[in-house]
Amino acid sequence: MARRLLEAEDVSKHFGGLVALNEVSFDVLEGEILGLLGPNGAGKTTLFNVIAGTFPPSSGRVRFAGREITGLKPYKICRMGLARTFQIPKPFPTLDVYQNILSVGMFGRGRDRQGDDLKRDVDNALEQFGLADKRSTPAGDLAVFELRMLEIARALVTRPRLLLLDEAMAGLNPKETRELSRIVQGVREGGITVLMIEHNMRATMGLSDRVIVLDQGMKIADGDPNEVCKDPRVVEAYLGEAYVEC
Amino acid sequence: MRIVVDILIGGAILGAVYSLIAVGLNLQYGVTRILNVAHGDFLMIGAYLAYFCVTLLGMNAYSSIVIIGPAMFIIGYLIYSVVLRRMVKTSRSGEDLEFRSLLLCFGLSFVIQNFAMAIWTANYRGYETHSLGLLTIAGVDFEMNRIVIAAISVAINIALFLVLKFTRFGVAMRATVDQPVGSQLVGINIFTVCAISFSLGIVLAAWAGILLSILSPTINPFMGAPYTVIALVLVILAGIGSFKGNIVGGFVIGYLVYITLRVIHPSLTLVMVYGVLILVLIIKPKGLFAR
Amino acid sequence: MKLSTFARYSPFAVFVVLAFLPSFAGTYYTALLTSVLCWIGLAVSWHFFSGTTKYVSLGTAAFFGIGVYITAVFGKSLPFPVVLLLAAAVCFVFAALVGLVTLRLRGIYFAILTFGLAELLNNAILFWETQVTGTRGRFVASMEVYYPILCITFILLVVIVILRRTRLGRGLRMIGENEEAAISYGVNTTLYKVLGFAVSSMFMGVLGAAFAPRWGYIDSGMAFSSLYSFMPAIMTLFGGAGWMVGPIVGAVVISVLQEYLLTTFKDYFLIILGAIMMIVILALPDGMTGRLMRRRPKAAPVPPAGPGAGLAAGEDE
Repeated sequence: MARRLLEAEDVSKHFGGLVALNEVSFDVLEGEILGLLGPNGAGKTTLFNVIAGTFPPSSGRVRFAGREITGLKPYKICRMGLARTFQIPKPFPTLDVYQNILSVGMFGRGRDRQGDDLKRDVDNALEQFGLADKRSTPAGDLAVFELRMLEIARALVTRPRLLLLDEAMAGLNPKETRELSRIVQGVREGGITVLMIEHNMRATMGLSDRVIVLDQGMKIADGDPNEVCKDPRVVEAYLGEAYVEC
Repeated sequence: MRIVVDILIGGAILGAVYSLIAVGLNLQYGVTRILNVAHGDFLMIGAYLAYFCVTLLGMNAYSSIVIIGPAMFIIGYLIYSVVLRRMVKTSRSGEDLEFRSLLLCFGLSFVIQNFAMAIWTANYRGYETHSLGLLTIAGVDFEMNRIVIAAISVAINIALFLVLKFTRFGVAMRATVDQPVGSQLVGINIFTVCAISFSLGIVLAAWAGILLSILSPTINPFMGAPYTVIALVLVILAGIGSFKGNIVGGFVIGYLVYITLRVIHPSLTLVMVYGVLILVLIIKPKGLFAR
Repeated sequence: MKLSTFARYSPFAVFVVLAFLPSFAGTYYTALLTSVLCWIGLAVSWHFFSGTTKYVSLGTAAFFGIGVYITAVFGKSLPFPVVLLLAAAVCFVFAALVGLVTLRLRGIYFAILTFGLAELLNNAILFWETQVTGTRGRFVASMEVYYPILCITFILLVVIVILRRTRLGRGLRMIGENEEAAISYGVNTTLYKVLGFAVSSMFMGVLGAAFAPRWGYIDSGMAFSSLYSFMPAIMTLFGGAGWMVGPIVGAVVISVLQEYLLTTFKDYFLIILGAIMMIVILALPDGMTGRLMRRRPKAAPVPPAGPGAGLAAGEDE
C-alpha cells in the first residue's frame, strides 16, 4: 500500500463572499500520477495555491509526507520537496535559460548540492527538456512550448518529491502534448509523484493512474479515469464544454 | 476646555484640508497605477498661481479656484498624454510601470521645484487675505477663513464622491480601479479614463495649494514636499482607491498633526505621522479600509 | 596577457593608480575625484538592492545622512574607524527595521516609506538638537577624505562582487526578475530583501560617515538633503544595465556633468538633471550602457531596439 504523500483535509477557501473551495479532501499516493480535473472556475488552481502555500486556506489542513504544511510560506514548502509550475509560466526574463534553472537549483530541496552536482543536474535538465540549444537565450525570448518546458525543468531541479503541474498541456498541439506526456511519465519513473491539473480530460486519461474532479469548489469524483469520465455528475459539470470525450 | 475645543475644531479643519490634498493622489494611483510623487509640487504651483492671480490680476483668492482649475486640468492632461502614456506603452508589466513611473515622477518633482526656484526665486511669497472675521466657539476664536477653507475642502470631497458614485464617468473610474482589464472589455476607454483621472488629481492638488496659500504667506518652491509625504501616508492609511478611507484617514492624521502641533511639539509632527504609518503597516498593511 | 587575467587584475591596477593620484593631480581634481568615488559607491550600493529587486528606495539620503551625523557627533571623541563601524551598524539595524515593516508588502509601500525617511530624520534630529542638546549644527575637523573614500568605495565594490555570487545576490536577482517564482522555488524573499536593503544602506552610511569631514560644518538639513536620494537613482538609471558597469558609468558621467553644470548654470543644474532622468526613463529603458551594448551575438542582427520593442511584446498578452 503506497504511502500518502500529500493529504488535503476539508480544505476550504473563500475570498470575501466567493467560495472557491468547499471542504475538499483527497490524498496523493506516493509514486502515482494524479489528475485534477474540472471545468473552468472549479477551483483547481486555487487548490494548488493553497497546497503550495501561496495563500493559506480559510479552513482545513494540508499534510505533506506526514508533516503539517498548512499556511506555510511557499519557499518552505518547496524546500520540503513540493514544487509547482504555473499556468502562465513565470520565468526570470532577463536571465538566460541556464541561469534560470541554475538559480532555482540553489534554493530548493537540493540546495545543499555540491556546485558540480548542480551544474550536472542543470545540464541534464537542459537535455531532457530540449532546451540545450537555448542555453544562453534570455528566458523572455522563448516560445510558449519552450517556456512550459523551462517551467517544468525548473521545478524539477529543486529535487521535489511531489510535482504540481498546472495545466502544462493547455494550448499545445498534439505532438507537443505527446512529448509532454512522455516527459511526465519519465518524471514518475524517476521516482517523483505528480499531481497535474488539466482541463483536457482526454489528454489526462491515458496519463493518470487516478483522477479527481472538482466542480464549483467541491470534489465530485475520485477514482479510475475510465469510470470517472462516465460519471453523470462529471458529465453534467462539463456540460457545454467540448472536452468530455472518453 | 478651551484646549479641547481648539483641538476639536482645529484638528477637523486640518483633517478636511489633508483629505483634499490626498484624494487627488489616491485617485491618480488607483486608476492609473502611477504614483505621482510630484503631487506636492503641483500643490505648490497652485499656490503660486493663486498668488499671481491675487497680486497681478487683482482677483479674490477664492475665485481663482475657478480659473486655475481648468488651467491645471489642461496641464495635467498634456503631461499624461505626452509623457505618461509613453511610459504606459513601453512598460512590460504593472510592476514595471509602477517602478518606472515612480522614478519619472521623482525626476519631475526635481524639475518642477527647481524650475519654480529659477523663475520665482526662493523668497517666501504671500498675499494679504481679507479677513472674514472671527468665529468664536466656547471662548476660542477661529479665523473664518480657515473655516471657509475647511468647508470648501469638504465640499470638493463631497462633489467628487457624487461624481464617482453617480456619473457614468465616475463609475468608469471606479471600474478601472477595481478591474483594469475587465473594464476595457466592456468598452471603457482606458486611456481617457486614466488621462482624466490624472488631470483631476493635478487639479485637486492645485486647489489644495490655493486654499493653503490663503492660510499662510509661506509660498515657496519647496513647500510641496511635506504635503507629498502626507498625501502618500494617507494613501497607505486609507487603502488605495478607498474614498471613505481617505476622508477618515485625513481626519485621523489631521487630528494627530494638530495635537502634536499644539500640545506636544511642532517639530515632531512628521515623527508622529510616520509612527502611526508604521503601526498601520504592521497591523493592517492593506490600509485601514482596503478593499 | 589573457583577457580574463586582465579583467581580474585591472581593478587593482586602477586602485594603485588612483592611490597615487593626489601627488600629481592637485587639490581641485583630488576633491572632484573624491566626490566621484563617493557617488560611485552610492550608486553601486543603491543598485545592489533597488536596481536588482526593483524595490525603489527613495531614502538614500537618510542613510547617508545618518553616517554624516554620526561623524558629526562622535568624530571628535572616537577614532575614525570606530565611527565608520558605528555608522555601518546603525544604518544596518535601522534599514533592517524599516525593511521588516515594509518589505513584506508591495514595492510601492516601500517606496512611499523611504520617500519621507530623510525628512523624518531631519525633523527628528532637529528636534533633538534644539530641545535636548541645545546645539545647532556641528563642527567637524575639516580635512580631505580622498583616501578613506577611495578605500571604502573599493572595498564596497569587492564586497558586492562577492555578494553577487552568493545566495543573497542570486536571490535578490531572482526577486527582481519574478518575485512570485522566487518565493515558490525556495527563496525566503522577505529575509533576502531585508538583508539586501540593510547591506545596501550600511554602505551608504559608511560613505556618509567618511565623507562628512570634508564639509567642516554640518547641520541636519545638509546631511539629509534629498539630493542624495535623487542622484544615485539617476546615475544608476542613466548608466543602465549591468550591476557594476552601469552605476559606475552613470556615476562618473553624472557627477562630472554636475560639476560642469554647477560652474556654468548654477541655478539650472538640478532642472537639467531631473530632465535627463525623465528622458532616460522614457527613452532609454536600459540606460546608456544598455543602448550601447545592445546586440544579440547568437541571433540575427536586431536593429537598435527602441522603446517600441516593449510595446510589441507586451501588447499581445
